[in-house]
Amino acid sequence: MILKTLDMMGPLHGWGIARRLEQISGDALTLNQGTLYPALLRLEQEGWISSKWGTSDNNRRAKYYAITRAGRKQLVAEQESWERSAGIIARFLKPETRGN
Amino acid sequence: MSLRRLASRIAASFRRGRLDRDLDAEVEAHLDLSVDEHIRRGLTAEEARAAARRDFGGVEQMKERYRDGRGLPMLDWLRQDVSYGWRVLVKTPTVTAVATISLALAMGANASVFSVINALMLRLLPVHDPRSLVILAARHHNEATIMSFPMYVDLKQAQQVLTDIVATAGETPVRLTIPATDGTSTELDNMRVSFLTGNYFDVLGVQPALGRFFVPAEDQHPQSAETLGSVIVLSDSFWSRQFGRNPQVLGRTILVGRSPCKVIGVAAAGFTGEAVGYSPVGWVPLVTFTSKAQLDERTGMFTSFIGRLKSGVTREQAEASLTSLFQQLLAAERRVRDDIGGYTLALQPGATGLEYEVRRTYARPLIIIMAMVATVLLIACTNIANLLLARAAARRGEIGIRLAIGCSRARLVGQLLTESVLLSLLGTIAGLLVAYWGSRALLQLISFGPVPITLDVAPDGRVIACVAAAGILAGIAFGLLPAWRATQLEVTPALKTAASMGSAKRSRHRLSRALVAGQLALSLLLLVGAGLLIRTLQNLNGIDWGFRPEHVVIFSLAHNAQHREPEAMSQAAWNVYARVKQVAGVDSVSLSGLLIFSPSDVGTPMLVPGYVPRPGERVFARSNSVSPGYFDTVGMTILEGRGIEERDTFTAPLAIVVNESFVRRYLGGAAAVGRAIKMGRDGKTAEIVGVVRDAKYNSLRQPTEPMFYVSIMQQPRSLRALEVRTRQPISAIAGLVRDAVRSANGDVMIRGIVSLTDQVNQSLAAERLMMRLASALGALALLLACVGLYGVMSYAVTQRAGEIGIRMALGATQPSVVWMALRQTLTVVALGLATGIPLALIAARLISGFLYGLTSRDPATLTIAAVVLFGSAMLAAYVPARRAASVDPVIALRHE
Repeated sequence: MILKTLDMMGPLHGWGIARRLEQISGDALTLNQGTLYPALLRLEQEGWISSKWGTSDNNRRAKYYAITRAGRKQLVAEQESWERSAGIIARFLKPETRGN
Repeated sequence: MSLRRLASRIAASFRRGRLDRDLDAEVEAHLDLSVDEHIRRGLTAEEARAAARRDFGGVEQMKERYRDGRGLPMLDWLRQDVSYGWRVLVKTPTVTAVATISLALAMGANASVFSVINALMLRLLPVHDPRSLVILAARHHNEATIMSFPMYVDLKQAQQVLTDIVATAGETPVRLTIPATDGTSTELDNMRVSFLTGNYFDVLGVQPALGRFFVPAEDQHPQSAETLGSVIVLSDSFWSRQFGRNPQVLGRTILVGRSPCKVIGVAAAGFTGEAVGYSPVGWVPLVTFTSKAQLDERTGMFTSFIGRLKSGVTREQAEASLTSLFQQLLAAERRVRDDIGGYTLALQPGATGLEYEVRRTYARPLIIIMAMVATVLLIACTNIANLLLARAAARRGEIGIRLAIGCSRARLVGQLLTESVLLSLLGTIAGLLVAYWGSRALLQLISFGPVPITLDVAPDGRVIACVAAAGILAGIAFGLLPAWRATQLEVTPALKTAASMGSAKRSRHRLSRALVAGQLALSLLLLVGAGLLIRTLQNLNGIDWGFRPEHVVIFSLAHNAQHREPEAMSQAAWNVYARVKQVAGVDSVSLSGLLIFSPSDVGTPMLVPGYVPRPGERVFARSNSVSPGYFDTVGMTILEGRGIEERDTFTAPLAIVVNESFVRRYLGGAAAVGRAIKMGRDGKTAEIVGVVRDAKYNSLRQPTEPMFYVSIMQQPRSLRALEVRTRQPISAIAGLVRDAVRSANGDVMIRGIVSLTDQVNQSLAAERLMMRLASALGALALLLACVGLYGVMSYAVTQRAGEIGIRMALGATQPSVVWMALRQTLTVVALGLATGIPLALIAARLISGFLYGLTSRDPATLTIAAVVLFGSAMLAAYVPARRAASVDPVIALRHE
């Protein structure tokens, strides 16, 4: 989800990512925003995102995260794998639409 | 965890400060942005701040998780433990200093001995693929024999399992003359030059540091008047020492003996030949230094061969193949008729170089010494364990608090272990520094005699790695028990300061005493070892040597004769003898072809009329060529007939003097003088003119064997020793004798000067070294154990001051209190002896091969060692016991 967000929105700071996730999920996901940071750390360690310090719209210093090439590849792979498993589950759940 | 994440985590571990600040800033920014948003939605600043925090969740919890994910928690713990441990060590400087110093000494001793073992026995030769090298040794029923040059050539050509074979005739001391450009020249005596076949460097795969090595053409022409002259490759150290690493040395001509040799190259630095410990100044092709007649002669010539296994051939296969080839060649040669099956060609691994004298003499002693210093290390560790145990008791409060606030016991043990490993590493580092000095000192102890050992014994990578590993292990060993014990406490009583003398104390006490008993047991090992060796040396000095070494000085000689014809050699010997005889202050003088109490040995086959050998027995006697005056000079007694005299000239009938063992073995004890025997391969007849009393020959241990002496004028050999009996100190006559020898014969050099007593003692060098070290280490160990005992007993007495006060108030006498305190010591000592005696009996077997006149289970030695141990321990315990008895009951009770 973070990767997708960064892929769509371009570089964002932590707060921005948190906001975006809440908006997209329609506030269905109300996690503590703090839990975002360990996840960001993990993605950065894997080399899927990169970070650098920058200045926000209202002139605050913040750390901006951007997706990397490796991250895009990972995103595609994850999407495919998700779609595949979602497809399988979907077929299980609606068997009557297939068959005859 | 992916490799990439691991790398990132490790990298993060080293930038914690900056990353922590980054994280703080990032969280700060997040919260600020969140507050802005909430304000925009209409909350007050105060409410917005609260809401932002609520949305974010626990800031510190998040940071903690973030940090765990970012670095390596284990590493962080370690870092904390190390820095905490360091502070503890700095805060208790006395404990730290005592532990570090004792460990430094013990570790230093271990590292020193190991450095020497490593340099002497373990280090690979600095050559190409040392592991495929093999040493070839001709054996007859497992006894070394030597091979001839033609045999070497035949073997080299016919064999198919080795890539090539090198033969070396060993190192010979020669006189080097280095002409300078201005017409003067420098003469250097006793320079060791190695004589070998020209393929030597190619087979070993050594590179020249300068110039080149031999080419085949330089290795083909035997020495003759026309071909006098050769080439030489210098060693790197000699090039540095003598020529200041000047590359102009190439092409210069230096004289090796009398043979002018052109310098063609310098061997790579660090390469000192195939025999570790001896480093020649140069290498020359032996063929060019040997006459054709000598090369063709099918008698022994080489001492060692080196080969390189073809790839895919194992040492066992090669050995079998070469042995059968060797036997075929022997059969073809027809010199050996019977028992050809008894000859073998043994192959030994050659990766660490040649098996030779220094290594043979010291390999086992060094391992025994290693065991001794390891024992001392064990004792030192025990001492430190006791020290830490005491400190752990003092830290009960601290440990109790840590346990109480939820620190896991494993983590605490880890913390305490980190401290002890830290302590041990401190000691280890100091120990390595000690070893730089110690290994050199040890080398000095084993390096004497005419050829000093040159060996780089400075600790290398292997030594440092092993010692560091030993240090960490030692740290864990002496830290584990105290750490375990320290954390094994009930939290509540531990936090109550005054009432902390609970049951934990009592078991700690038992543990300390067990440790001290262990120390005593280990000390006993060393004491018994020292005792056995001391008595061995006493026994060896007490036996009848058969000669009188007092006032005798031995000059060992190197004789590179220019003219080797027997007549010329005979004349040369006479000249030196006659000239030195005239030196003022010399009472009597003699020459010999074999140095007394040296490893050299010559056996001569004989035919004794009337003696019927048992089947398979070879009639053999040791022999030595000596000049007139030999028996008087060395102090041997002629029992019958006469000694070798001046009338036994080159042309006179051959006369020999035999010893008592000869008469007993071969003449059935009958009258010997006047009988004739045939000796040597040529079967010359010699008449026995005298019988000399049996004397030790090259070892005090071995029983005397049949031996005969012949005049060096009649059976000339290269001169190896000059014996002088004099009342003057060595320094007063050394120069005079040197000048006399020089003026009599320029081919003879003096290699070393030593009193005969020291010459004999050299043969016991290994025993003496072990005895000295065992005594010193034994005393040290005993001291350590006694200090430990003293500490434990003093502590016990202080603990029981109140009880003792009550006893005394109730009428206990001073002696009874002393006895009560000593009784505790008795149990500790008894425990120490009970474990130490069986241990000592087992360990003493290690040195049983070095003992003389007693066995490793010698009861007297064991008793003496036990008594010494008992006495010292009681003395150490008596002081605190006295103190206990002088307790004033009033004060003790008031204190209670």
